[in-house]
Amino acid sequence: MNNDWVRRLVNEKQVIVLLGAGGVGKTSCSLGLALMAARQGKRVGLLSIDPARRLAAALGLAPGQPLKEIVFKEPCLVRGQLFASMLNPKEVFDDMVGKYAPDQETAQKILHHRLYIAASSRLAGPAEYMALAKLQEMVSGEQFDLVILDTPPDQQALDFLSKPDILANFRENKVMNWLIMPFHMANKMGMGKLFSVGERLMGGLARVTGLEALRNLAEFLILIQKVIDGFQSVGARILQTLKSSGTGFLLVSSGQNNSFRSSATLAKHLRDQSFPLNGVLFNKCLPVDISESIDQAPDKNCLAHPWMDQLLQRSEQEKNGIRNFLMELNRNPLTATENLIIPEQKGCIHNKESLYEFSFAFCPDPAAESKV
Amino acid sequence: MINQSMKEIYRNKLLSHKLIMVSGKGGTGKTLVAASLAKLAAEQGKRVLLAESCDSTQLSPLVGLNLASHQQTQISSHLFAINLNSRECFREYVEDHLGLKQLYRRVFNHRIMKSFVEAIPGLNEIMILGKICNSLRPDSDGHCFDMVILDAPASGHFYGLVSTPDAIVSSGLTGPLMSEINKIRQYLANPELCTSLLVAIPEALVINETLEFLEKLQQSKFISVGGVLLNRSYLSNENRFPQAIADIPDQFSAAKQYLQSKFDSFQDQHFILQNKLNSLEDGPGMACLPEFGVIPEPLNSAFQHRLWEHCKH
Repeated sequence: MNNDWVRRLVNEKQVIVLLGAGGVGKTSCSLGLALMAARQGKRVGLLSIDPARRLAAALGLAPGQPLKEIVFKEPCLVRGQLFASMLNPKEVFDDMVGKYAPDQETAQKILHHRLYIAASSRLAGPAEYMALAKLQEMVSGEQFDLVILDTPPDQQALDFLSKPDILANFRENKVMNWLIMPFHMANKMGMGKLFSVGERLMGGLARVTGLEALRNLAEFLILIQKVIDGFQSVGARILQTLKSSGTGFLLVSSGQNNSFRSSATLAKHLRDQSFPLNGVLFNKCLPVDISESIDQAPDKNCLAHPWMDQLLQRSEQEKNGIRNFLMELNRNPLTATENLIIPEQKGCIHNKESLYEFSFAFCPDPAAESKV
Repeated sequence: MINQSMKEIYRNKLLSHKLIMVSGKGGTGKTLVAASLAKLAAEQGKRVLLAESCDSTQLSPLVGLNLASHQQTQISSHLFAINLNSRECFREYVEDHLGLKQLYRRVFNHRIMKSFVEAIPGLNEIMILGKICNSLRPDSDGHCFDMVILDAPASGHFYGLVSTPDAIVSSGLTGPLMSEINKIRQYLANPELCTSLLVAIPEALVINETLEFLEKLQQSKFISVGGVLLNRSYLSNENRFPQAIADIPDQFSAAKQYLQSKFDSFQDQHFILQNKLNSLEDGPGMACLPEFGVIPEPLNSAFQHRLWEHCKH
């Protein structure tokens, strides 16, 4: 299988976004890909949202820390540089509040508002959005040849991509001005009668949540309006970055049926939002020597052993699944999607050495590469 | 700490709960466990609602019927399934629970109101939890489910789900919705009624994360943890490992090596997990579910039998 396309992608793009369901090895692949690019001599930045804590610790990363270089020692040779950051949603959100609130007083009011404290990690999916904002910073800063973004698993990744648009709608619909402000003002002035449509609607909501809860929420949303405006401006730039030809999208899938299904959904969402799909990584597949020995078995009798039978079934599910998945993707004959089959690694990717070895899975000629 | 027999856990104590939430790291087999457990409970005569809440249904292939959004679908005489939609849960709450059908039509159907309501922190989670709790209460005809099994989100988002009632109650807000939320909080935290299962696989990073998550959940007291399931286990009494490996023809030496390393890894991780759980006061029990290679879709009774009969330490 020709995997030179991965090297070409890494050379052509400034940003690569990895999408995929939970448990397919997206974080490992992001790291492996980033390290492969760094070994080629590039200055790479990797943004990870949800890496396994032990892996992060082994690489010297802690949540919420700014970009930190992952340094490799002999015999793990890296010509370029790899920087990584593990995003902590709450800290990033606090950061954003500090950055976009109109003044310190408002920022403090927000950070100490009991709604914020109770629910800041839930506010309209900010974690993913914050990652995008951070990505934008990294890209605009121009300190990296390549920025790689490891997204949250599955459906959150979809929210992630459409976030800039959602906030645009929020603003365009003038929810804040139209709905909340009048309600807020009416309450402030102690006006009992709600006459505008907006106020009627808010009154309706109050019957569900209770008036005090709603007042609190309204007050909070007013405070945070400027911060939302700030996101908005970043959002437009983020969308530009994501839509530019310098950004590539990779899907990570495993070789199991449920993974093919999730991946198909993700691929469709990419298409619906007019993002390109530059390639699919089929990760954690059966090692080649095993599938080959199964294919070359002279008759089914050798495979009668229960464990061999299981491996046979797995091999077939993988082969058929990959073939069907690619066929579905390539229904448009003009765009054949590149793919790479990455075999299951001998051990977990849990430290720098195992990560270094894993990064060779992304190279065209591992043997030649390692001699450099 | 007495490590209870899994048969005891699964046959008696576990299935006596009203609500079981199945979580764990992504890709470990939560959906499989939830669906399979629901089938088991239904076969024992319980009226079970198997639930998920996602944009793209995961349960459908395993139950053999397409679960359209928020449509309760009958799978068998005692088993029903649903893909919960938080917006629909909210509508049901306003229309049915509060009896405010007109209000819903006039106010919440408004396009802008919809997006505003979505933005209210924690509301989606509360609506999902509320719907689940409500399914366990008799309806106007006196019907209700004996049990709800939720194919819950993976660790991080699961924590977000179960921590929401507490977060809102702690915020000190009052009002009609608040007392409902407090009831939900108490219900979730009652270990006789509600519990969670954490699914893991025998990989070092997964075991590590599972143990950390277990600790976090137990400390939070939002919901009890009723068991840890080690899925994709290479069990020694299944096909008589390691003798089984020696029986494999030599032409498959690569496969032999692969299986041996899987077996060794399983032994190590199982040992680590077992030790850690044993060291906990009041820790959850553990069961091993075998590696199957390929899961039948839909789940069939032969598979069910193999999965639960071989629950081992």
